Amino acid sequence: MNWLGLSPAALAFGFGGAVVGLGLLHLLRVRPRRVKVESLLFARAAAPTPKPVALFGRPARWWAFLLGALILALIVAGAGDPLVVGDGPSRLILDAGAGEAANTLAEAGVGPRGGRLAVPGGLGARGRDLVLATSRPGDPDSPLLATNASNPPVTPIPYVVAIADAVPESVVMIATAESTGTDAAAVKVVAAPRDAVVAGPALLIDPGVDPAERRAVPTSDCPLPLALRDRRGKNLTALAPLPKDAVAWVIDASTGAPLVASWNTPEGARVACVAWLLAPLGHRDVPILVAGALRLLAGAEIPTTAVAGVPFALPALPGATLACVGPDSFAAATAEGRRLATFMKAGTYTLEGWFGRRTLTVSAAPSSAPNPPPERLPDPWRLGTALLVVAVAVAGLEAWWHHRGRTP
Amino acid sequence: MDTVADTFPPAFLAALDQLRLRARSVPAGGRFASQRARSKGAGIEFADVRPYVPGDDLRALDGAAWLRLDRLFTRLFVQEEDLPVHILVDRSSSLGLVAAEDGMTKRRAALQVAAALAWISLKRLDRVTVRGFSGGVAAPLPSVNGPSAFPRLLDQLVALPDGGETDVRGACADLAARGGRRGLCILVSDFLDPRGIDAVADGLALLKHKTALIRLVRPGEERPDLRGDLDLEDVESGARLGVDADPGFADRYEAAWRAYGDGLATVAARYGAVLHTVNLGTPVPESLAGLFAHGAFPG
Repeated sequence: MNWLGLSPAALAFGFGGAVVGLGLLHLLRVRPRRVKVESLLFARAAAPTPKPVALFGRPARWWAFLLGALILALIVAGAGDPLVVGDGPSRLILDAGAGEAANTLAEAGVGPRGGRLAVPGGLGARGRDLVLATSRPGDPDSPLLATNASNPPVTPIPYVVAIADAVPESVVMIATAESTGTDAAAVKVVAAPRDAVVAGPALLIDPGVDPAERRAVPTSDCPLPLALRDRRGKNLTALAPLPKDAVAWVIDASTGAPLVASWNTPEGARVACVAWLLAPLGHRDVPILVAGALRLLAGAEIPTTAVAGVPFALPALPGATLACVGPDSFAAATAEGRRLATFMKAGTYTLEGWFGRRTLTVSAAPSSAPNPPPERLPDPWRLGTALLVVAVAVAGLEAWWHHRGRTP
Repeated sequence: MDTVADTFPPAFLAALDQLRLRARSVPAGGRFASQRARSKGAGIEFADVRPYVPGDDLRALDGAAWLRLDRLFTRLFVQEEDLPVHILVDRSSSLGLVAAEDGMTKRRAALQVAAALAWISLKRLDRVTVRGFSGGVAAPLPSVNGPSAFPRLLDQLVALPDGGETDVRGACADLAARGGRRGLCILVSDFLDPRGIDAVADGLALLKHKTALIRLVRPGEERPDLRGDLDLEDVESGARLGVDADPGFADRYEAAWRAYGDGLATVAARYGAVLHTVNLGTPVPESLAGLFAHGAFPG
């Protein structure tokens, strides 16, 4: 079904077609055959006694019921205007050159560019070919994947979702700084990749003695450090001191102070988190980001209503599929100008799904690189009109059949 | 509009004389509506003798009794009167709706029945009055007497207006209101009165005449070819009835049709009337023969 892909003209055309179709159905509706008789005395006596309507009773005529259901199903399916998509795009080119977010990530220890590709908002000249982009501020339901007007917005989504399902580690996302790209407004944001998986052991958040510090044991390697650049509170405490081997998960970018960190002890791994990051309401997007990071580890939502001093466990499900950040979180995270960038590993993915078998190449190129020739995508087949025509034909056949007195 | 030649073809008219002969072959005493005056007077059939009184017709003196008994007796004869025959012909719309395979409609059959019975009555020198009836009762045609009036009667029969609903009670009430001598009333109709059999019973209750009901039925009428979702319209009243004619509909229809016929026979028996069915699949003269076979009609 493709309700959103209709242009206004197509919608108007469809509406007009529906009106015409309904008119035809009205003309072709089953009407009783009028017969003049000498008297109604005997017909009145012979007419079957009307049976009480039983809502969940067995249909009196199965064929008539099935035929009616078929007509209804055809109309509904036709109104949905299903698409049969031919060969989709075979490549995703990610902009590796609009570097603010990527630089930040590199500085945060993600690794060299291209290892995990950031897709910030500055699409630049690459925007025409990019199908994977970031959300923008003001997009409350901002999906993560994007495309420009030259490509159907629905086309690349299945591939990225399939990649996320098949190779969960390939697609993750993180909040980045606001884009300064000039073409950002042209990007149409569509649905986000829903799944990312990080397997890890159970994580116990220990409220500890200091209410400003919560500890989690055991821990796993931090897969995704977070950089908070626009922390609202300037006088908030940070974790200090930390062991030398501590790995900072969340860093206050303005001061460089770690806010969430993990380290190993003889008793096991520990995660420390400043209490204010866990406050549910005081810092709006910050807890959401922390929760997202912890969910990557623990596989569950952090109970933001937890009472200080009461430990709570976050069961980690090895191999579980976790939502990074839900659509609601996007709204909060992007309200202050942040973006949630998608990271995707470059490589060649062979995907199988309802769309068939596709080989998708994900690569990165700087904005200054010349654009490759655009891919020529075949036009999808829309089946709505054909289904409606079939529905009208079946209804007409049924009406004709009925007029011949051979009601099924 | 049918002409006289269409309605009464030569074959039909030729069959009337044979029909009359069959009617006259009915033995005396077995007739349904023989009409004799109570008074005795000039006639042919001997009835009785009584002592002569001055003033009696001398031609009626019984000579044999005078020679044997030496007393004068006067012979008395039955004084015969003509029989008022009232023929009520249904002219409602239902009679003209469907034709049999040979094109015969109930409307035409009704006129043929009326003509045949009128012919027999006229040959008996009875006085025949024909009137058509439907929702609005038509005025009676002028009474006719004698065979010579038969051609004129045929013209008048064809010219009877038609249309409207069957109203047996109205027709009987109109006839009863006109009074007159007691005679024979013949109702020719399909008796598909929208008010049902009760209307027929009510009508018969109003009549003081001997009554014969001639019911017209069409072959296959009891089991019409009705299937599927139907919007039935009464051709007389325009009333509509939505019917889902399932496979059992025809059986129930036929059962109702037969029950109606049985009810009609019961009503006729209750009021001493004769019910005779004329099937359009059989020529009218032949179909009417059964009416005389059991002495149901004066020949």
